Amino acid sequence: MIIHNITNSLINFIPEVILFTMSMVILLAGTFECLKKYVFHLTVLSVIAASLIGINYLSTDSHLLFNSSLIKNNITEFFKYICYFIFLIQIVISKEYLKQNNLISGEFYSLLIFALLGCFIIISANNLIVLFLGIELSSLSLYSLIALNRSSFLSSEAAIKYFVLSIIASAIILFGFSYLYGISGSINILDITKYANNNEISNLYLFSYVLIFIGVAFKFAVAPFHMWLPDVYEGAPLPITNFIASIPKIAFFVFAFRFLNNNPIIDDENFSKLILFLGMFSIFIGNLFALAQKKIMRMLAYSGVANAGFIFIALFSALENNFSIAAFYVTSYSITTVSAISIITFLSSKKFNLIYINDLKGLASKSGYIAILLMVTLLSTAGIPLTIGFYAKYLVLDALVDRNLILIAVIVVLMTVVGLYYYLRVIWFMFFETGFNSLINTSGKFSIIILSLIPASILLIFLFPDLVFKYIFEILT
Amino acid sequence: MIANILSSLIWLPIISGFLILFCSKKVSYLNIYNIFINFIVFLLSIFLLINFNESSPEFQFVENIHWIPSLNIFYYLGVDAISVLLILLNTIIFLIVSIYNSTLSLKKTNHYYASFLIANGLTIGVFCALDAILFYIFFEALLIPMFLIIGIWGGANRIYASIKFFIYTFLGSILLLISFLYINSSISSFNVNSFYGANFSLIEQEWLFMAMAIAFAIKIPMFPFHTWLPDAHVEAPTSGSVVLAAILLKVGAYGFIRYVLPVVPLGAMSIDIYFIVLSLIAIVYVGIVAISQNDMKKLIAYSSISHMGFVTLGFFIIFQLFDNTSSAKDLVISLSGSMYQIISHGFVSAALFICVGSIYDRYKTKKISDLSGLLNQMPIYSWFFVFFALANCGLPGTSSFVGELLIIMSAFKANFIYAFLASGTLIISAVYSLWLVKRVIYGEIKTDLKENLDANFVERFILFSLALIVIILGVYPDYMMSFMNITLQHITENIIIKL
Repeated sequence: MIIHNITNSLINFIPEVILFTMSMVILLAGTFECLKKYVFHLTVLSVIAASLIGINYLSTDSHLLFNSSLIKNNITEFFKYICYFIFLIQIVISKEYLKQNNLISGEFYSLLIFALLGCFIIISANNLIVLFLGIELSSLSLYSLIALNRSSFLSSEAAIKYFVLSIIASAIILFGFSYLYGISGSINILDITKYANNNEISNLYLFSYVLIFIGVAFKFAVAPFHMWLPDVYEGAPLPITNFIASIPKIAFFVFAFRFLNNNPIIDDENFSKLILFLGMFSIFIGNLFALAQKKIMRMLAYSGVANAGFIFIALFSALENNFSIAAFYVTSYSITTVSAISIITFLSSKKFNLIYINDLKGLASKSGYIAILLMVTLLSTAGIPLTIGFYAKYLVLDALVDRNLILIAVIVVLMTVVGLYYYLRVIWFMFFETGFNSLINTSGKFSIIILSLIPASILLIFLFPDLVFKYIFEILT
Repeated sequence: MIANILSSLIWLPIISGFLILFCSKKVSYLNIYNIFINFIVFLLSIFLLINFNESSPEFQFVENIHWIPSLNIFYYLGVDAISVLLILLNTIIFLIVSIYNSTLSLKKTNHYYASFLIANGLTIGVFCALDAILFYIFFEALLIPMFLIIGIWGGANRIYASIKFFIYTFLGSILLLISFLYINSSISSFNVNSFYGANFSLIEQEWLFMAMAIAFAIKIPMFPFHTWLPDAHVEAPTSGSVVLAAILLKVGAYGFIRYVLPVVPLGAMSIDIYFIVLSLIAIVYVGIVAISQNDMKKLIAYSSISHMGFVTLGFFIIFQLFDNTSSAKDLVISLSGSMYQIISHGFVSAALFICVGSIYDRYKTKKISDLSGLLNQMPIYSWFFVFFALANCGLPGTSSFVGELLIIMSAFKANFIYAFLASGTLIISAVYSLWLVKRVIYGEIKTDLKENLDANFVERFILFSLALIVIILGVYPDYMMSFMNITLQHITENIIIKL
């Protein structure tokens, strides 16, 4: 029975096992001079292999693996496949950038896969200890990846900041976990939820949840816990920024979902007020600070803070356990932000690192196509119709209005109008200004095709959104 | 064909607009393609007009597809008489603009034409969407091509103007979205017909009215929200100004008559006095502001705001009319005056902007103080300029006269002071129009350009057709009045039933 249980669990866990083994293989391959040039191909291959083999073991019902320390169901698989998609685009686009900056190495790709693996474990964990291991696995890999560019001062600064703040956040999460274990006597999250359903929610239970969600706010970079984000965005190598901006957000959304799903704490007035307040504050801070930024990555970082605020508001408005709004928002935001950062990665070359927003000026006259791709992406982040970002904002506003929180909806909306300015500023530099900097790279047919994938899907999903909505609404309600 | 005519009207220009982005950059082919597509769209709208049954108040050519079932949003299209007229105005103006564009030499011609084609389709979408969210999507998406037109091909200060235009209108429209969501949360439908059937308490109606009215007041624009318009007009290229004045402002007016007055009439009634006062300020004060302008485009922009003041006056006096006379017929007259003013101003302002554009092409200036004595160099052109300036100040026999007369007549029935102030501006509009003519057309020649500067064939054709339309509408208003009579009666019934 036990043997059967373990084999069954392993079979369902096989994509992660493949990723783990392959990251070891890639690490080894990187040490041999003759194999070193194949690490990129090995990485792409292993991610594709893991995702394809994973398809074989997809099933519609939910499994508890390894003595119910992991969960595998529609939700986890949906988000994992989004992560695979994002991850593949990121590594394919970043190859040229890494090559030019001499960053290609076995340990780079190996650590990147470890970070992905850590996020996958966060997504499927059902056990406080496994969950914490997942958080640490992804964070530790990211600390070293941020510092990878040893010659860069900003990079080291970012790594130290991320390290210290992230460790504090992990400690706060762990502190919350310890209380939860003390109250409910179990490390299984389903049991912890069950405990809250059967007993009255004590103040201590609430307190541990507050601690855990402060940790989540750190990871999401929700104001006032956002201080690390702009520095990391600016300092880390662009491919790593691309990773940090998207995949951990998805993972921590599932983390939040796991803790809030079917939990009566959602109806607790104080707790939901805290989430709402954090969300509002974040939208406020993010949009106002982004206005003043001259560097494009810092601007995107503050726009990320504002969007994280939207995710928190969407979590708050999870009325009747409906997490689909937040899920849609997270998915749409991560996909669009990956598209934006990938385009910036693509435009940066060895001779010229794209840092300031006005470096983009006149891009439309050189390559109108790339300018249009970036415009679609930014309009989607701003939530203008003809992009999926519109539906994301629409759903959040709809939920707020349904809950009769019109004043909050109006404030949120006014802040997005403020935020619109900095997105438009990028568009104006690209389209309205002249004087293109010819050092910026605009060539590479294959990369351009890959880059157009996301903007094309942004527009297509806008026209035919119902399939996506139906699927997300189905799995999350 | 008839079943899907509205979809064809919307999507034909949008899809051809995207195609033209990938077309060759040979300008002569692009011109033919662009004019051809706009001509087809124009023919389709004529076809729509012919097949439209004006004796029925129902929405016609309805297309209703359950677009996003999970959010309860429909792809619901349909037209009544006012939509048909506005679509026709739209297609005529875009056809004229496409002909005018073919005389220009521009950078990135295919992008320019693509923006106009897409704007054409989206505006038609605004005029026939009957699902509130679908309307909102078209309404908002329309900003993107206009933003690019002003920003890429505009004048020296184009960036400021385009950003201001975008953010200002976005601010308004996002409040509109929240009002639609609020209405949906209580009646769980975005359908216009169910909007008309919804009943809200007075306080709800007041708030909804404020939110929606601000959105459309920014777009029309009404007095304190108008500052984006002169900037946008001055910086926009000529064709952009034409579309902005002739079409975009009408989107705001259409929003009032479709989504505000029949949906929340009680709210409108309780604070209509503020909007009447703002309309009167627009008519009188903005008219005076127009007199003092030295930039011709700015002058016409302010005169547009002043004329739009008549439109909103016609909309908002209906509640006092109803109090005074309680006859639905008076309300219909006031509303049809506004509609007439909308259509007429579309043609007159388009013609005036094309006139200014032609001057700018020749003399590279829009400043009135730099120009003088054009009559000597461009006699035919000057004839048209004088004609449209007279039409702008409401000369009897031109279309503007009909609209202004109807609105002032209704204003007399509502309140003498309104009528007094509104009719007083007929003098103001005569002052700025005629003084403009005096300074620009008459007098001594200032420039020493000797070659033949008179209107070329394309300009003569465009200005002549616009003049013809203005005269026909002015001499024989009955066709259009009876065309929209039933629809306006229906709208009035929808308003009265809730009062």
